Amino acid sequence: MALHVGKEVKQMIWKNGAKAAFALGFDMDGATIWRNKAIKLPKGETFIKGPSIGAYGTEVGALRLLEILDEYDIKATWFIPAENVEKYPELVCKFLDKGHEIAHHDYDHKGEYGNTPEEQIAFIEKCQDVFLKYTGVKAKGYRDTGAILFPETEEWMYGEGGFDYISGGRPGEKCEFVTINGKETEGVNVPCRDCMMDDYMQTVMNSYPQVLIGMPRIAPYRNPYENWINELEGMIRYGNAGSPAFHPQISGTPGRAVMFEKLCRFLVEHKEIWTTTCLDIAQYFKEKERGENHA
Amino acid sequence: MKTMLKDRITWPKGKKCAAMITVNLEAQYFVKLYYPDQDINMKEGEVAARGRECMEDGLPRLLDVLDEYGVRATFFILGAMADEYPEKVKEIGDRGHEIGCYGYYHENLATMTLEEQRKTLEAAKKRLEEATGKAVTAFRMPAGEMTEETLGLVKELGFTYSSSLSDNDIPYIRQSCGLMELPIHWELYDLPYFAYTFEPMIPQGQARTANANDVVENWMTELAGAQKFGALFNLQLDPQATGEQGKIFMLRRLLDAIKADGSVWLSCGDEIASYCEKMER
Repeated sequence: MALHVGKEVKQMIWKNGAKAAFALGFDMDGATIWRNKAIKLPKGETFIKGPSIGAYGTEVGALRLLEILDEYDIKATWFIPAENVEKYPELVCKFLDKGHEIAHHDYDHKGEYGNTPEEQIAFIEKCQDVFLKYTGVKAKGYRDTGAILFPETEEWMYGEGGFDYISGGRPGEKCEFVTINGKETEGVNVPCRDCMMDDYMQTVMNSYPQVLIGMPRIAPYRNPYENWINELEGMIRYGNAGSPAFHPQISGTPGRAVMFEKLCRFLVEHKEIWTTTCLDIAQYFKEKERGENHA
Repeated sequence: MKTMLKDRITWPKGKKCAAMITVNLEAQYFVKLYYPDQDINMKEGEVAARGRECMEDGLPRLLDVLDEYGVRATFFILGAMADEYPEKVKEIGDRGHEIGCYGYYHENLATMTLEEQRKTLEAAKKRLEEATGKAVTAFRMPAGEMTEETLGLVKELGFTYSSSLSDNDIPYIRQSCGLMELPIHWELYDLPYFAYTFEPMIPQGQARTANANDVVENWMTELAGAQKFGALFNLQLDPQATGEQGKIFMLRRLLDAIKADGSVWLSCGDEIASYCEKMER
């Protein structure tokens, strides 16, 4: 389904007639992002305060979110730096046991994938090997940490590489096949709606190093929550699919978990939204689009 | 059997969660939170003014409200405060509050040698003990960073707990050094929501000041979360923020909520640490 300006937009109908498809996406970055920031300061490799904020996610936050997801019977997608798969294999296997999806999110969240397509492919394969070794499965989804992929790398990903989708690093509101150099691939873009749905950017805080830079105030929790709902309403209105960038180290704290639970309640109460994993959305889209085209 | 996260700890008397009120007493040195490694003029100008407001307006008001509610708080105090405001520091101890150490001049401990850190923390502890006549066994990391080595030193110097890190929401014993940690979280700290000076720029990005109604709403949501998930609600106050006339209502509203249904164990750092120490060992 290629959309063209000026033509009538065909609205996607999702599973069970749902008007929107939504996948709770968690970036389980843990301490990686804090270590990467600290290392730029003198003696930064010895810091423990900043990294402790990240460690909250892997020690407590992820488990709390898992309990809430259980309660609402929602399956989610966990984007995990491979390093955290090595460090927390029990936790990661628990995600799988409970029917959640695990997906690619760099090795150590540095966004350093290499300077050639070959290097980038080798890097992604290295991460896939970690997934396979510790969980028995490889990732089928990709969420970026800021790296720019070569067109050749992405072509490989959606072909031989075995990735079904990308969520993050690509613009757009609409679920669609990724087009590279004018050619449609088999990879699906499940839009990562981080501008409206990134909990970290709204309520994270630290002073040394400053996070965020300039130390803007922590938002009232109500603000990001209401934007999540605004975004979901937009998705319903336009028949789109999307995924937020939530972080266990943020959404898992007691008060924010109260807000997260409220969101889960909203999701189960609104049948217009098909809430599932990113992979389910990508595969459903693929089947529906390719199926129809080949019928 | 399904073990939920909230079953990690049992609070006394069947309470759902624990809460403690802490005050970071730093007057003009609050500037170190924003400029840890720079030399900023603290003797005059806006930073000095905020420091005076903190001590002359905020602190007395905060102490009165704590008395009114019968709350014993933990005051993490810089050694320098005992030099500059000895009567006020003594009064805090005399009114029954716990005295903790917050460094001497808000040192960025992670950038110092172990020996320098030892001298600093020893001096601060000693100075606070002299000024209050009380043993000082609570530690909170000053602005900046610290290392595992710092915590080992803190334990060695006779502190019984630290309240500095954010990797949990219930007290725990840190494996590397065996020291009890009562975790804190930025969202339960008033200063980052309200700190403001034009020159130097605080915060550096000149963010708008938060709406106090929103801030207390965040705290109430965290309190509800602590009750639901059995966590420790560990509030950090700076008298220059919550102690001021337009913001003191936040503490009242929060304490009303904490006391509302009897489900919260409102206690003090030393008591919570000692309870958890017994549970753990």
